[in-house]
Amino acid sequence: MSKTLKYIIGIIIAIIIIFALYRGQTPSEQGVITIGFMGPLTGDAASYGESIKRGLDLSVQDMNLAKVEVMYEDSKCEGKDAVNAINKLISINKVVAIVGEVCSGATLAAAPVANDNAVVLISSASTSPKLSEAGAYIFRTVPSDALQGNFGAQLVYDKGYRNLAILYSNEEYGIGFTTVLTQSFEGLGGEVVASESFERNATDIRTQLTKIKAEAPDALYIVSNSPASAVASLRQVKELGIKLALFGSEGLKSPDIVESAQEAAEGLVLTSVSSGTSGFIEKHRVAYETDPGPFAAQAYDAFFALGRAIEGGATTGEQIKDALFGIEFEGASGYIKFDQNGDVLGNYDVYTVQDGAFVLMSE
Amino acid sequence: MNIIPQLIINSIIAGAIYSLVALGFNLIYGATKFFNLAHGVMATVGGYAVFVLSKVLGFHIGVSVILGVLCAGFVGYGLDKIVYLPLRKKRASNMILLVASLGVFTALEAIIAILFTSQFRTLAQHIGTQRIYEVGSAIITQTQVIILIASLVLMAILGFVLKKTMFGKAVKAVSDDEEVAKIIGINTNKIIGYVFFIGSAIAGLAGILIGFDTGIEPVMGLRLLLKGVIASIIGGVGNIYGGVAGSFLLGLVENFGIWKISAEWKDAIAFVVLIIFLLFRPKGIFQK
Repeated sequence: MSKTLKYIIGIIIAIIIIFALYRGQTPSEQGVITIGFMGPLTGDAASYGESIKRGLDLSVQDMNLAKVEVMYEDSKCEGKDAVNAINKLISINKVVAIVGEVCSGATLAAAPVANDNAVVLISSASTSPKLSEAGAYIFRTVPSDALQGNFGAQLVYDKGYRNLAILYSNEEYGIGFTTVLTQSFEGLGGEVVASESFERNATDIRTQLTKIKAEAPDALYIVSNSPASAVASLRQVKELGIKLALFGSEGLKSPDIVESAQEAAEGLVLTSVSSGTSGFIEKHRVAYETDPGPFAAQAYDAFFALGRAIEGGATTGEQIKDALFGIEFEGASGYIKFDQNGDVLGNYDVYTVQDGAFVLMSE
Repeated sequence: MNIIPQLIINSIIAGAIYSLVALGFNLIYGATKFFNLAHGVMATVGGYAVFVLSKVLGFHIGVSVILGVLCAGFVGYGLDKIVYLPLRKKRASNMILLVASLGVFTALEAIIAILFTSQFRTLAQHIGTQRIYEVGSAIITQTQVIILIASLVLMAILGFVLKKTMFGKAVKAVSDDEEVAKIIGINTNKIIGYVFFIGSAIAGLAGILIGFDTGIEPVMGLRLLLKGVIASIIGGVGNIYGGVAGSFLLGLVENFGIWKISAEWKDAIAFVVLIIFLLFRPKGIFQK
């Protein structure tokens, strides 16, 4: 036998051994169902990720399912990282369902992978209208911006403002929200006099605001899912002496933002998906000594829905998907029932910032 | 309403911020001839040092700022001694130093995020009491005026020090040829250490002032570094005055560029300017 041939056979044997060991390791315990979580645990959007993880953990505790374990992956609110995270969760951790991502752009990037592998992807925070058509395996417990945009437009109109300016972050979430808000507000008979965008995380928004100021609108709607950009926008509105009514999307409803923007956030009116029923808020306070952050209640419901499906006997991604359509319950964020797109109706709250705190204006 | 005065002010504010980053970057590049990517994170270090001192430990704001600037300086100095100096002694190429600085950048950013979470915070104590100045129909805040003054004063001081003092001549000698500088008896490692201290301290000041103007977050460094580096290249890498001129030019182009077109083009405009300069004037505005 020649030397080269020996080498080749040696390598082939080595590969077979490694492969056999690898195969032998992965399916850990028989019958254990793994659920994945992916979201921003580091990076600029980590505060959303942390809040969602708290809601999810609370749900895991409450459900107390014997044969379910949760694997966490950091996907940083970025499409690229979300695709890496979902690939790892599916191929290495063998998950059947995933709670995540947070940012719409990242969820949309991961969606095709979830569909191809028949794994349920359920987001508790991605609100882009595009997610409704992202595939059969894509669900969410947070209502689409198509609904919030309409709600926001109606709110601005009802308060008597007719000339609206919109300042939005230039990515899926901002563009999706702005499109619906604009159509809806103009449909009501108002006029959108200025529509300016900024790169997500930008902190110099002076020139956009200068342009908005020149159009003399009587209300400004800020659509942002970056705390840094939200704080910068609010502060620069005040610095530039722009006097108008301020509205914000739910991305602005975070204690960090109000804390950093201080006086500049006073009077800001926010539309926000429900931050939870009084029961959930109380439970969250007991567990973490703080009020629930953004999307914590939706994350609670996302895992709760998966848990219900698994309790009902579903073990594969496909079975869970089919089971979810039949599930309805009174959840932490309101009544949960998925329509044929995997969307929920959801409830909106209106808050205003008074003395640095969010005050609920109406249900 | 005429928005041109405000656009000019906006450009000047942006330019002043970029120039604070570009000043230190150019100083360090001038002496070491490598792209110190960790420079961006020095701003973050300064900002967080002031956050800890003033908001957590309750120090007076002036004292905190001085200590914060020193802290960034010492971190820069320490990095040179711990990371870059050993590499230089091993005759590592500038490419290796660049990669090392990228590693330092990522590690420090991660450490800051672990220690302080990723929350966006402001250093300003009372935004409402901040003085606001009107220049014609344009508006500028007290903090922004301080940023502008700091960038111009530091440029003048650095220019003076580099031209007129023994230290400045030593830096020039190291910058021209490190080996020859060594032969004529200059302790080049000491000089480079000082350069790192000064450059990082200025970056720290940039981070602190930005913290007062908007706020700080662990990931702020990269954004600042990118604009600072573009400004440096436009102005001529290693040139103190060029970096400042490049910064203000970049500020003007960015802010006037999005006057008539949508603001999502802002970063694209900045990079197009960079490419134009790289193609047609690779040594910057003040071509030597």
